[in-house]
Amino acid sequence: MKPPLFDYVRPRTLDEAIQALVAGGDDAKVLAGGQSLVPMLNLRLAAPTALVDVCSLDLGAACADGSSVKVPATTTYAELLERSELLRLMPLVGDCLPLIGHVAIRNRGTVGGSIAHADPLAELCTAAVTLGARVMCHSSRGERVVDAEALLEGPYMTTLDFDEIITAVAWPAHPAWGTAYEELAMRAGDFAIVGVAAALHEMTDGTVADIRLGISGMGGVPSRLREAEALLQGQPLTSHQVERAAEIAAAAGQPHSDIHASAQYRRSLAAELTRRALVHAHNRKRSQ
Amino acid sequence: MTSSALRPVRFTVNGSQVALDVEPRRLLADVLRDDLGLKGTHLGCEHGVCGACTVLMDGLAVRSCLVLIAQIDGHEVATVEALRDGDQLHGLQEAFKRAHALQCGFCTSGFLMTALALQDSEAVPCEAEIREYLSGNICRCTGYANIVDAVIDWLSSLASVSGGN
Repeated sequence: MKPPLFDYVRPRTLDEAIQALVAGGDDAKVLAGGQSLVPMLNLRLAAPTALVDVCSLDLGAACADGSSVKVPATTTYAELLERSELLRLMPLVGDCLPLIGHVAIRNRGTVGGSIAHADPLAELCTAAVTLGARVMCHSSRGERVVDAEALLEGPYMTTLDFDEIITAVAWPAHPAWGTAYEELAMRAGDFAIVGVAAALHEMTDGTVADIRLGISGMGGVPSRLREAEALLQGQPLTSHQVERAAEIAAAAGQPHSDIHASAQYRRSLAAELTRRALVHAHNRKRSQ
Repeated sequence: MTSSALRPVRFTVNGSQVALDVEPRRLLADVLRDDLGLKGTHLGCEHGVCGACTVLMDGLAVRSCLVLIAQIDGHEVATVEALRDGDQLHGLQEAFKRAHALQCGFCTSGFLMTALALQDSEAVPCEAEIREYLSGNICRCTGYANIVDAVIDWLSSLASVSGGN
């Protein structure tokens, strides 16, 4: 099928883009890489009256910025994958990027687009929630910075105002951490049924100094497993601890049943992927 | 409020300049096929999951069913038609022929345009890496084994050429 009619605007500046969104009202949508929006247009699941193409905006280049890595919203997954010096500062992001779709998707899809689209299974959204990434947004009222966890409100729903554009995502740097992103998808590149992101920092005696655990597929948004984090914090990561964390993950959220998996299977996936993510993150920390 | 107004779009296809006035909602795949007569790019799913429509945009593999024509203004597109040089098939096409890597041929142009970028890899990728790289392209006929063999064969022949025989 083919997209419905829309007005197309390609602003040259951020101000022009915001003005175009204001002029378009609730039915104007930002278009970046189009890897999520254009399929919806083709399937007529979305019919915005206007598309504001932000691909020509110059939002700067991705760079390390003190204790965080600032990535402009229009950065494609492929472009970010080439910045190995930045991925070394945020290894969990480096773990999840290759899991996103396929090469052709990664050549067009953008970091800002992933957050704005808020797919509940998106790897980048899960990593953003897990790490506590901060999202920079611009509107006619100025700039605001919001935690990814607060921005991602529900499935495909964000707290963005109708005239608000994501301009950058700031990822907390965690170069000395051990990280892992484990997911199960029916085919390589598919959206995960369940995904688990783990990032941990250990003292030399093996005590977990800090830990982040995030999960997707167990509810309408990716979420932190804070109860599991509190459990693991300040203790060595033993197999007993891993098992307790896996149990917490299995009990988290309210997974649904569909043609891909039953709720029960999703719970057992949550447990197994949590085990693997913790062990892999721990091993990677050990091997540093 | 939404208009069907045509928009001027200027881009390069297989090295030639193109200037069209089109509805911005047209897909690049459809413009290539219907306006420019380049039927080698195929539409399998129109939502980005099958890979049959893959072309190169500024040298990068992209789904032409997910590129709105308005977005191509100022860019370079390469389609499967650019591979052959007169009567001479591209080395990758020859490898597909030798390995019997196509049957109906519907997915083939997408596989070719996707696989091309593998020649830029720093080291010759192993089979697992090639399979992973091609996993965004679906084939109903071949079972993929011969496609992977063809790509390995082609990359190996490039490596042996550059190895200074």
